[in-house]
Amino acid sequence: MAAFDLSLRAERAHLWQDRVFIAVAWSLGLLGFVLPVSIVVFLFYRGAGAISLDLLWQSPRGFPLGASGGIRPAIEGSLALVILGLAVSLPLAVGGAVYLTEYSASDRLRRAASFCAECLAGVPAIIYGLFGYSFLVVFLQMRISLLAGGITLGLVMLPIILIGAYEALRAVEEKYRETGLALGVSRIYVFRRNIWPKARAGVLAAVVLAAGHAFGSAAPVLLTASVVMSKGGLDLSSPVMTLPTHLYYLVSEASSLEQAYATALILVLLLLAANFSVMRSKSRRQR
Amino acid sequence: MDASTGISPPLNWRQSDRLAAARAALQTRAESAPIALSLYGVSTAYGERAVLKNVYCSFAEGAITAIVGPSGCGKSTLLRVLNRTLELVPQGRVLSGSVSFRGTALHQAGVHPAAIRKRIGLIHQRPVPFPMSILEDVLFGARYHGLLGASPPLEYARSYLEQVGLWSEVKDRLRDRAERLSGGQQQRLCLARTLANQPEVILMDEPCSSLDPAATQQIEELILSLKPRYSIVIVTHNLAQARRIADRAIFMLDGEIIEQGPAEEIFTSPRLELTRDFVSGRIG
Repeated sequence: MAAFDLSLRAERAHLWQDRVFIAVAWSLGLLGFVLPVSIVVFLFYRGAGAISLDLLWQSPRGFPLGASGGIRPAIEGSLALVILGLAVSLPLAVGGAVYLTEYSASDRLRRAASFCAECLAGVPAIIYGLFGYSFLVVFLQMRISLLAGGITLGLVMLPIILIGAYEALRAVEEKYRETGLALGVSRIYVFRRNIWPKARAGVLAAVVLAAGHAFGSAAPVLLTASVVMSKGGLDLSSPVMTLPTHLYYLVSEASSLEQAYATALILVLLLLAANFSVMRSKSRRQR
Repeated sequence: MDASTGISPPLNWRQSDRLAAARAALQTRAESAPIALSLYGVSTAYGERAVLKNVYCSFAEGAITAIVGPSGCGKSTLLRVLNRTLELVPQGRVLSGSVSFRGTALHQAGVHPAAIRKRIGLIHQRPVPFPMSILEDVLFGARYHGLLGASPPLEYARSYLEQVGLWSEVKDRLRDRAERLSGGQQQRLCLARTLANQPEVILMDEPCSSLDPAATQQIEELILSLKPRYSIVIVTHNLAQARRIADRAIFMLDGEIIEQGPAEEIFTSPRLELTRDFVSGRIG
């Protein structure tokens, strides 16, 4: 007689556990794949018909407004807001992350700063909007304007970039800092030549994530920057149209559902394009 | 233990007499050699944990000094005190004492750690190739310190890659990433990078512990070839290696220096029983 039970019988229960686990993992993974794809496919199905050069190049027209014409001022406004927001948040967030990982010797400060950043990232977008409205628009008398909206979006992006950049910089192993500094060079030199090349892709990914988030959110700009209609042209002290708020008006006023789907499709395509270009530049660098 | 140390055959007595004479000669020569680095009562800690305890020792100019001792005895810490890289380790600090490098106190105000690290290079246990090409890696510190002068970067790098015997292996792939080299090649690259920094003293922290025997032999030959131009301090837990290359040896235990002197003496006829137990493999 064998001293051990080598038959599959003893393993059968484990085999079943494995099968169940694999089935659950697969179906959840599939769901994660099907959901975004079906959203894009659905938007294509409903909105592709309304996409034309006129939509991209003209201002909204018709009655109710937006029933015909294009969304060019909204695209311009959204892009301008995000660029302005990046101009505010990028130096602050990346600079802060570099300080925390490369210079700060205090573990307590690091923990406190990342805790605050995580809290900020968890604040609902409409709260940012209300803050921007009461502080920038009313108190600092910026009025509803590109500038006020851009700064508000900058605040929305700040914690996301800070956290992402901090994690990316922290992921660079300590040996690159220590070995570099052991050659008697400055911290900034080690950062520029050893740390940044290793962290760049991660920082960029955080920036794109934040910019995409800001580009698509209506709440922060609803009260600080956006109007229902502008003739185009960008001016820091004037309000602008934005894609997400335009979409919101189109749907809530039932102006034109077709136009709304086309607007949503363009919003999503712009976000996908930004993500893809970053992924491509990332994989090119790794090769 | 007593039995084995107390009884020796007569033949060995005569041999050890001759050795003692030779040793005495060696010792005078070594002891009268100028001193590059010395520690006076240095104590260090990581956070609250004391590591070095009131250490006094010295390192001769133009010699290879091996620091030996069991793991965790403070060998690497001692090395890191010598070029002020200890303060790069989280919570690492010198509690008391002073280190003198050719008469200058390293930890006094007005001495910048970067200036010391440039003059006293450190080779780490595991090679750390930087995220750049082989060529740029060699020039990393030299470029910063402005050592290239008028010489073309390629020629400058070449002379140091030749010194470590790496030139013929990498001359056709200087633009390749340094990470692609094998372990032994990476360690020689790191050595070339440190040499290109034009240091006066080279510290090595178990430079062969992650290498195979062939690569180890290459590094050992390299270290011996560097001896005429640099003062070298090497931490190793490989006693055979220390015996092969060192002129002087320091034996450490629990953050204290037990015995120091000419390598020959430490390894063949140490004065203290503790050292004898260690070099004969009874502790460690």
